[in-house]
Amino acid sequence: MTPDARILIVDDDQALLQALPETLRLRMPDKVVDTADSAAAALDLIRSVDYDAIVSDIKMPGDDGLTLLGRIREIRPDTPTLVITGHGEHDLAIQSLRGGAFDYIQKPIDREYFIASLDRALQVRRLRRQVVQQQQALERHALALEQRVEARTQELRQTAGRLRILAESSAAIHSARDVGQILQSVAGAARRLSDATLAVAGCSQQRQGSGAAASTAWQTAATPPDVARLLDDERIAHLLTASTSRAGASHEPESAQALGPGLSWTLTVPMWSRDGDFRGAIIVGRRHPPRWAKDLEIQVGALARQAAVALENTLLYHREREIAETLQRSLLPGELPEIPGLVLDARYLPGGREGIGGDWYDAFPLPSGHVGLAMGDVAGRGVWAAAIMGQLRNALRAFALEGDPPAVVASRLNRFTPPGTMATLLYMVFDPETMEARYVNLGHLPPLIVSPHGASSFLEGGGLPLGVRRWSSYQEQTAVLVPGSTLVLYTDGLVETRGSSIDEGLNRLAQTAAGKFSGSIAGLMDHVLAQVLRGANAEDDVAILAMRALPMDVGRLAIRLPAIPSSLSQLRQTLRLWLAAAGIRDDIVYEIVTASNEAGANAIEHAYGPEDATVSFEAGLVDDRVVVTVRDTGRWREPHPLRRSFGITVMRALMDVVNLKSGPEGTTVEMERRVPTRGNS
Amino acid sequence: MIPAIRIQDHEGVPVASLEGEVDIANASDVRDQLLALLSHRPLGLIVDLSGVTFFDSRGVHVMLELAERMHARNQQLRLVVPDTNMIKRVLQLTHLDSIVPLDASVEDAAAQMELQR
Repeated sequence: MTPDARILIVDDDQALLQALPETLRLRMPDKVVDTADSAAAALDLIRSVDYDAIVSDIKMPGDDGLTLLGRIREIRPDTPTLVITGHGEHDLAIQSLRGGAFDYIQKPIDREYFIASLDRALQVRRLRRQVVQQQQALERHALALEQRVEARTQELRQTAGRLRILAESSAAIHSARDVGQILQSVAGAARRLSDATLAVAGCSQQRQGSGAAASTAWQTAATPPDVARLLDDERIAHLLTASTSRAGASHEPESAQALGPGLSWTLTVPMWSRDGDFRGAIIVGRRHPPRWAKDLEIQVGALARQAAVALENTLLYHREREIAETLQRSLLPGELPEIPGLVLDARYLPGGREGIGGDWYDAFPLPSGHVGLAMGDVAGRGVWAAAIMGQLRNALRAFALEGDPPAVVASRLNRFTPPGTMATLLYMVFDPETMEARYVNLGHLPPLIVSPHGASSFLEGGGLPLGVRRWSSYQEQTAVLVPGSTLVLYTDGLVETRGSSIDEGLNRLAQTAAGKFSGSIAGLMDHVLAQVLRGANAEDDVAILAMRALPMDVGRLAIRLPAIPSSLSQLRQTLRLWLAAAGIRDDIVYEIVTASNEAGANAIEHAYGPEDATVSFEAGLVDDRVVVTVRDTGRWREPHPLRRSFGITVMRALMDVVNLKSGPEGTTVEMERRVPTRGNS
Repeated sequence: MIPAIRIQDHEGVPVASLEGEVDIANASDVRDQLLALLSHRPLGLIVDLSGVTFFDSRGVHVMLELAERMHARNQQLRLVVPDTNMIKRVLQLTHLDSIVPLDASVEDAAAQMELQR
C-alpha cells in the first residue's frame, strides 16, 4: 500500500465534504484527503496534483460532475473517478459510467460500499502506475539496449573496415612481385588499419649465419610519401633493429619521439617467418593512442604474419629464379665456336614474367668438318627445366660427335629423354663446303632462311617432339643454302607474343629479318629482337641462334679454338679447306696441315692453368709463301729428356722457317712454307 | 673420336687395321687397344695403317713404345703403310721406319714375319 495516496473529494454539500474525509480518516488513516467545493476548484487542484482517486458529486452548481469527469479524463486519464449520484438517478449513473467513471455511489451513501469501491479504485490506480513504471523501465531498457547495439554496430563496422583493409592488403601483398612492392603494400595497410600519421615496413636483408655484430641492411617502405621523405634512414634502421629482440608488439614512448615530431604513440610489430627467422618489422606512429589498441595489435600482428609469409615466398621465388637463370646461362654455350666461312651468333633473353624456361641452343664443330646446330625447348619451367635442358644438350653433343646423321642422333636422344619430359628440338648438320643442311625438326618452329638478296623462307618438315613416343624414328630433311644466306633458329618466345597468333608472329619474323638481310648478323638479330618483341619485355624466354655461310676469304684465315685435344681435327679440316681454296697442291697441303697440327698439339699440351684457355691459328698467303702463326697462353716446356720431341722435328722438316717465341704471356710459333701453286708448279 | 680398329688373325699373328685420324685426342686409346692384343703373347703384331688419313707425332710415340715393349719380349712389330699414303712422310721424318719395318701391304708384312721366324 502506498502510504501517501492522495484522494480528492468534490462536493458542493459542505456537510458531506466534511463527513466523507472524516470517514476516510477513520477507515483509511494513511491517506491524504483534499477537498474542493466546485468543479472549477477541483480542476485547479487536479492540474497540480496527480491524485490516486477522485470522488465527485454529480449535481453541483456551475460545471456539474459529468463535465468535471470529462475534464478529468482529458487531464488525468489514468485517475479513477467515483461519482456520487442521487437516489434513483440511474440514468445519470449509467451516463457517468459511459463517461469513464470508475464507479458510482448512490445517496444515501453506503459507507461500506464507498470504502470498498474507493479501495478498489486505489488498487487499480496503483496497478496502473506499476504498469506505467514497468513500461517506462522497459522503454529505458530498450533505449539502453538500442544504444548498446548502435555502439556495437559501430565497432563491428570499424572492425569490418579493418578486416577489409587486411583482406585487400593480403591480396596486394601476395600478388606483389618483389620485396619493395610487398613493403609498400604492408606500410599502406598498416597506416590505414591504425589510422596512423605514418607507417614504416622494413625487411631485414641480413644473411643467415652472420654474427651478432654484423650490421643489418634494411629495405624499407614508408607512407605517406611526403612524410616518408623526412624520415631518417639511420633512425628507422635503429628502431627496426631494436624490434629484432622482441617476440610481439611493443610500444615505446622513446620510439615515438624518434620516429617523428608530434607523435606520442607507436606500435612496433616484428615479422617472423614460419621457421622463426626474423624477416623485418612494421612500425606505426600516431599523435594520440587509439582506444582500440589491443585490437590494433592483433590486426597489425595478422598483417605482419601475412607479410612475413609473402616476403619469404618472394625471397624463395627469387632464389629459385636466380638458381634457374644461373643454371640456364651456365648450360648455354659461353662462346660460339669460330668456324671459318661461317658467322655464328646467339642471344638468350630470360622471360620477364613466368620464370626461367627450358630454352636452349648449341653450336659445335663436328669431326667431319661439318657444324652441328641445335635449338630446343623443354616443356616446363624453373630449375627442373634448366636441368633437363642441360642433360639434353650434353647428350646431343655426345651423340652428334659420334658422327651419326641427324635422324639417328634424334632417335638416340629421344630414347635418352627422361620419362615425363617433353621437348622440342631442331638439330641440323651443316656442311660449309657443299652448303648442304641436313636436319630433323621434332615439333620445333621452322628455321628461317634469309637469302643474300633479302628473300625469306621457312624450312619445312617435322615430326613428334622428344619424349612423346619411346621408339620414334625421324624423317631427315635436306636443304642447300645459297652462299651468303642467313639461317635463323629460335624458340617460341620470339613468335608467340600475347594477342597475336603464331602465324602472325612467323610472318612478322620473316618480314623483319628480310628487311635487314644486308647488315651484320649481330645487327640482324638485334633488329629482329627489337622489332618482333616490339620493345616490350618478352613474357616467355627467347633464344635465337643465327648462322651465315660466307665464301672463304682466300687471303687470310683466323680461328681460335679451345685448348683441348678435340680442337685439332677442326683445325686440320679448316686448314685443308682454306689451303685447297687457295689452290695449294695436295701433298703440300698435307705437310702444312701436319706441321700446324704439331704446333697446335704442343700449344694444347702446354695450356695448363686457365680452364678456358684457347689456341689461335692464323694463316695467310704472302706472295708464294704460306705463313702460319700459332699462339697459346701457356708456357713453353722443354720436352721430356727421355722423349724425343718429334713435334719440333716434324715442324722443322716440313716447313722452311720455324720460329719459336716464348714469353710470360704465352708461346708463339711462326712457320713459313714456300708453295708452288698449281698454276706455276 | 676413336679410330675404328679391326682385328683379324693371320696364322696366330693379330692384324690390327686402323681407320681414320690418329692424333693427340685418341693416341692413348690406340695405345691401350694395341697393347691389349699382346696379352696372349703372340709371335708378333701387324698394325695396318692403310686406312689412316692422318698420323701425327703422338701416334709415332705410341708405335715406338709398342716396339720397345715387343722387342724386350722378342716379339715382332710390323707396320703396313702403302707408298701412296701421305702419312708415310711423318714415319720417315721421325725415323720410325728405322726402328719398325714398314711394308706396303698386309700380305707383305705377313710374308716378312714368316721369314723372320
